[in-house]
Amino acid sequence: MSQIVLQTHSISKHYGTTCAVDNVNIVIKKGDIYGLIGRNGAGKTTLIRMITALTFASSGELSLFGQTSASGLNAARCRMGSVVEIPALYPHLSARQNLEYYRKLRGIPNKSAVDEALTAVNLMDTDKKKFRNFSLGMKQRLGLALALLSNPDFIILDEPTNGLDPMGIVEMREMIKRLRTDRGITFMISSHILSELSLIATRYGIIHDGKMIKELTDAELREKCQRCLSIKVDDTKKAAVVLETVLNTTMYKVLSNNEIRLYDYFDNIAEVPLALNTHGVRVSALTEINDNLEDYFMSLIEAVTPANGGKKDA
Amino acid sequence: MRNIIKADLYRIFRSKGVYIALAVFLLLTVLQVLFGADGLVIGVMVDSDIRYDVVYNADGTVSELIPQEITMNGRDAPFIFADVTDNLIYLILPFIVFIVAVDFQSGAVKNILSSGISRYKYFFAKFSLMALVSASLMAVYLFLPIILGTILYGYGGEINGEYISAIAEIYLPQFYLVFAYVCVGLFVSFAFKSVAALNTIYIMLSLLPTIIIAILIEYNEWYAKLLDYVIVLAIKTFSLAGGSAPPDTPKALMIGGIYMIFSIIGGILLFRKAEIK
Repeated sequence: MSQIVLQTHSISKHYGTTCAVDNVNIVIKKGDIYGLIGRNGAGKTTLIRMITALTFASSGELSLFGQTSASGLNAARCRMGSVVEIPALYPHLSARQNLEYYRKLRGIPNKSAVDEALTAVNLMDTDKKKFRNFSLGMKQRLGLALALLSNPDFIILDEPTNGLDPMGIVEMREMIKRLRTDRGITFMISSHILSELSLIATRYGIIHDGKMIKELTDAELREKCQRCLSIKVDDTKKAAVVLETVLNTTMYKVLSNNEIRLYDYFDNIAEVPLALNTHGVRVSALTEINDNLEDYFMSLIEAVTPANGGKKDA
Repeated sequence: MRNIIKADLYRIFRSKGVYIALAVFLLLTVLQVLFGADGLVIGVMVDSDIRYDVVYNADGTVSELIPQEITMNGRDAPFIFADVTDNLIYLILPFIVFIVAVDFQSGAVKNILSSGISRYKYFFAKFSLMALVSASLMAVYLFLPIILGTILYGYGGEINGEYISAIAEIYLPQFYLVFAYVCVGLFVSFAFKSVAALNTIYIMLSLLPTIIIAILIEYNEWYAKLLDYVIVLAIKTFSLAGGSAPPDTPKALMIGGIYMIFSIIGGILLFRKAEIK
């Protein structure tokens, strides 16, 4: 069984009468890149703030590396790096000075840790430039360097591509992938852009109005969002034989209700009903399904949203 | 906690603002030493100063002032210029800003607390560092007159137990009371998490109580008793003591203690569960 890095048990956060996070249960295992998806105000940042000790849960339990007590959680947080919202460092210090400050603060004896972190995010050449003069992209990278400083096992990034240009987004994505592969770091990344997360995440949690409405793996998401042909036939067994022997494809799935989903032949759709009809399979309907990630996300949100719209903003 | 203090010292000495604050502090201290309470330049207009030993009645009112001639020299300079320490509460304000309020203003406190450092540890590290800074600045106030006086007029005496005891009697309570007021500044920093709020409230709290009580006294003399509870005035009482501690020392120390305890308990109660933005 994979080691569980983070687990929440019915964790909730209330601000007065507003429920920002409502009985959320998540499990993040070692090696995951866990994408936390939700619209602005869905409760992503509040959940992250509870994990990072910037606010406290109203109820429920948090377990980090198996630790649940206050002191145990603090000890576990030493194995964690995080950037919550916009990276906030000392504006009058350079990148190196900021990291050196945090190295001393965390009692990291390895003095080369600062250089290693700066190298990992390509910020070695900023010299004496003050943090306040950094571009947003540089700030995001320095935030990641800070998260990497203590050689953590787990990193939490809250909207890490906010404000980045397309090049910066690609760089950030590659950096995260590389860190996971090279150092085995587990990530939790929040974003409101599913298509962006879908390029790196291995598991997803979709949060809406403070509630976790769906958790799924990357494979499950791909399946849900894969382009396919939905073919209604009178005999699915016979149709399957035709697909394999005549059209030479195994990229299909037989569903109930005489439906077959074919994930092939998009370039020559007309050939499919023709082949089926020729071999005695009657096709009653053929539809191209092309749910993209955003459509899927929206359909999930719509399914849990009352007809009169959202209920609150957290 | 030691790591936080070490890291903060590293950080604040990489800030231009701290060097400017230190320069202003040293300049004002030197000017205060070179220009006596009468506004005369030492070495040009006078070469000695007369201080008064205060004799108090049982009710704490001043009975008699006994003039004590003190020759200007390095040894006696701390007695002559003990009255400059009441400015310390203002000169120390930039250090509270750099050490505590900036963490909240910049949001850097998020990185500290999310890295596994407990709020208690963080809170008491800041108090400890401010105690260290207050003591260091107080030491400058004590030793700078000695150094300048010695350079200008020679040391002029010997150090003995009586001398050290007299110095301690004036400067230790002042340090204690100054730190008590610094604790109020720390409380404000943790409560409001804003540099602007700290500056405004800190300065207002040092001035407003005296002004309000002075207005109240116009209506009823009884309100004069409240002046005993104004910490800024208590600091002044010690700074003007001129070589002997006033009889209400225990009361002043108790007031300082109350300020400290309320600030520390109030600060930790507010901070331990506070939302960190």
